Amino acid sequence: MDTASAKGRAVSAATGAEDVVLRFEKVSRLFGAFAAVQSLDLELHRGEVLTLLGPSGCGKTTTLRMAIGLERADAGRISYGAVTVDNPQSGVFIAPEQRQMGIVFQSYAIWPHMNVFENVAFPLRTRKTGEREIHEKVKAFLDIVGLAGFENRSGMHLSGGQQQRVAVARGLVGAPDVLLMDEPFSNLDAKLRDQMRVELKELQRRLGTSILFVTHDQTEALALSDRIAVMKSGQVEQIGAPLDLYMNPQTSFVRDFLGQTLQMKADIQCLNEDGSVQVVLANGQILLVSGQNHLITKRSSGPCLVTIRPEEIGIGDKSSSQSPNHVSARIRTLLFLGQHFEALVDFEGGDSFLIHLPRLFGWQEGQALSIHLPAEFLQIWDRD
Amino acid sequence: MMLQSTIQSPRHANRITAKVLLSFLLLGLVGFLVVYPLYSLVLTSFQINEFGRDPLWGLAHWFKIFDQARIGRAINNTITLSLTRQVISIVLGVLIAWLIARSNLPGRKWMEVGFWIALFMPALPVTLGWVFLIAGRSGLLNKALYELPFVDGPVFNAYSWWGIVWVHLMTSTIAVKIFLLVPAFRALDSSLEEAARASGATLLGTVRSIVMPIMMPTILVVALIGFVRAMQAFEVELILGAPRNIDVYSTIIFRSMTQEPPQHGLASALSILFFISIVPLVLLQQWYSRKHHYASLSGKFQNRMQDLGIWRWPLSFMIWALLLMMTIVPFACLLLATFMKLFGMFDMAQPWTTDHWVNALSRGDLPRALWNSLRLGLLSAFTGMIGFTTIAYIATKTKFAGARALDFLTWMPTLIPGLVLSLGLLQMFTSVQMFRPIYGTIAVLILAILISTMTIGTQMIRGSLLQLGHELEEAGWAAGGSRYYTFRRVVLPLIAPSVAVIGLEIFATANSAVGMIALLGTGSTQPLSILQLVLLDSGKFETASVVGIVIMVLTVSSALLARTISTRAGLGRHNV
Repeated sequence: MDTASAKGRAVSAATGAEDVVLRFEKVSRLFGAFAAVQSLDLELHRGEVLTLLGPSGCGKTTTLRMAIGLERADAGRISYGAVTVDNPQSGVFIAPEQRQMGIVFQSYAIWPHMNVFENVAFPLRTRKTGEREIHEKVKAFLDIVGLAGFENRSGMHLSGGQQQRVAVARGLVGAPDVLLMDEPFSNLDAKLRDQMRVELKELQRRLGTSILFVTHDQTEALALSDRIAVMKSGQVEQIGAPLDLYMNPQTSFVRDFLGQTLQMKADIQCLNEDGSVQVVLANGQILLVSGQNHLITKRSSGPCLVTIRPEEIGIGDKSSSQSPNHVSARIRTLLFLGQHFEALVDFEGGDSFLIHLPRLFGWQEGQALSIHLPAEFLQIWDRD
Repeated sequence: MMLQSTIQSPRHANRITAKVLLSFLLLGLVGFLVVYPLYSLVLTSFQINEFGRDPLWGLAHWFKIFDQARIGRAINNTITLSLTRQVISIVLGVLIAWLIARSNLPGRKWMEVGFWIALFMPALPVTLGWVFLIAGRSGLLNKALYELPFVDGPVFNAYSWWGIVWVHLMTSTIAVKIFLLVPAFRALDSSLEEAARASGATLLGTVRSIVMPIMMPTILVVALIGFVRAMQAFEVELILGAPRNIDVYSTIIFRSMTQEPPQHGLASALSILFFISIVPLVLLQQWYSRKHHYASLSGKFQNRMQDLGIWRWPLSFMIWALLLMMTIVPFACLLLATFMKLFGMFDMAQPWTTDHWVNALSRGDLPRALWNSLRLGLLSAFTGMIGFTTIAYIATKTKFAGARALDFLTWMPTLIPGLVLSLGLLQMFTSVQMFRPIYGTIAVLILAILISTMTIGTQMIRGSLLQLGHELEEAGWAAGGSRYYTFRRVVLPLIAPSVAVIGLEIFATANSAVGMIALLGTGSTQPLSILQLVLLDSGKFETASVVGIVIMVLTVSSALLARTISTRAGLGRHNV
């Protein structure tokens, strides 16, 4: 073993004491007057997949690039294990090539003048690894990503999926503590994307590498992550496990960014003894909402917004419309999408909403429905 | 039924015929202009009696080539001079292009403008500027160095083998490398570099193991283009090589035509040989660039700058110094020279005078030459803009059967050295009876300029036409616009900036061109560049400097105008 990889090990050993592999403390990055990242706090735990999710321009890619040093922080501290890698106040900056992380770019960045073997071997060569070890490791990682036998293929003659695998193998071959992935699936077609998602998840479980993942695709984020940090304007809006984030968004931005919601204007009538809340819709319909979902201000009166995920809606026929939390509606437009129908329905005396209808029934435009809005899935928000 | 009858209107059918006819006419014309001069050179090279008489055929001129030691030396000089400056300029060009395109070098945007100007700097005036600075004993810089205690003789000499190399490097040789390489470096996806940095490679390591290998095909092609151009160089060698008899191929041809009596046969044989020896180089370059084209692999394109750290200051300083020497220094020297009684003689009691300006302006030949130059530039630019756009459009956007042949013909002029073209046209116009009336008019010069700018002109317009995509035009036709109407309302406005830039490039070429019109522009049609050559040849350096200043002002201002247009229109790359 040589000094370079020994140093890498030293970094990992030092992190053993703690569970945090990568830490951002009050990190900012300015482009002119524009703050791409603003006083960001973030921790990547050992062995987890942490996804930075947000719309373009929210600072997620800048955060990832600061992690490896392709972008320098303007303020704050970034540490990799126990080592501070970027801290402008004290003038500390460790160059990307000395950080020994792995990275997979959106464009894959497969070097066109090298074959698959040389692309993957490159990180080992920069660390002056012995030729035998290089051969063993490259072969092992090409096996892992399913590219055994492709060693001599030129970087130019690879499909999108193959390039992606080469990039992953190259990112992992140096046994980094962190693999950074910047929108790695966005250039693949939908089918391949689904497949690569599963493969990456299995690979990560097998190797236990911590992954900092950047995407704007919520499905990808929900499927892959142990935790998701939803970012907005250079800051983390909310961080948590995918299910928790999906079910209990803390801000309207997170609510609207993850999945769809039906939003109905309403007024709070009163708080019941059991803690539930009674609200009235614009059409006079009264709805009951479980108390724990009265999210923001716990007010007992005044205008509010009642929301529900479309998939939590129950569909009944007209006979059940007298039961509590049932709304009468009529199908205006019906679209068949394969797995299910999408229907634009008019609520009686109120707004129109897009909801999903199961394929099994013979739906028709103009058909009357009774829509069940279960109290436990309704949420009360302040109107923005 | 009714619908069908409207579609097959007779007007439509006629238009197609007219279009095809026009295309074939154009193909014939371009073919004739490119091929016939070469054909008349071949004929003349086998004519052993006096040129202009009824021909007597033989191989005498061809044998003569091989028993003249002078020609052997010239070939040797051509190759060694070209190689030397290509090696130096490609190394510097790659370095500077990388710095401008991919690093955070301060002032890189303005440097690009600087090299653009340098690219347009006319060779003869710049040569004269350097003569003023470093010509043997009288060179200004040499004189300054005399003052140093350990110097006792001229340090630099422009009239030498290395002088020729130096002046070439200071004109367009380095600038053209940067012009061609910067867009190529810029097109490199920066995540290719970043992936290397992340994998543990240093900045220099990344440049060495990633950037250079990926760019190597482009660099080699640029070097080959440069080598072909260098082999064709003429005027710098003519002026700086003369005192020490340093001849190159093109100057030998020129000398054999300007001696009494002119050696038409020998010059033609030499020209054909020159042409033939350049063909494989151009074929090699085309074959290589097709074979080694690394397709862009990236989906999302990124271009981020590499941090040079503290090195960016000294590097920036060095490049500014180089730019200064390419532009301001020759201009200032030349300007100084126009106000001196005797070129470079500061030791006189009263070295300064405005006589040269007064004389030049009052004498008939400068205003006449200026008028000729302007006329030549404007007419060439105008015809070129129309002609090259038509050729490029037919070669790219129509299903014309001869489109490929047309495209090939527009490449041909890169194979023909300027002086060879000049000679070919001269013989074509004097030997074919029906062309005689044109000979001696400015039309001959316009043709020479058009032929020599044909490749860059059509290729650049072709490039912007290809970027347009078919749908824009198809939407125009679908909306009911005729071919011509759609071209005028949709295509032309979109490619107008490129066409304007080409017009300005033709104008600048027409003003600074020497080799391609050296044997054509005499007497009443003599433009500024040839007037300057004649003045230099007869030793009137001061008046030649006045002419040089005028040429420089004309070419540099069209360069700046072209730059402004292309920046405004966002023409990032030039397809050459």
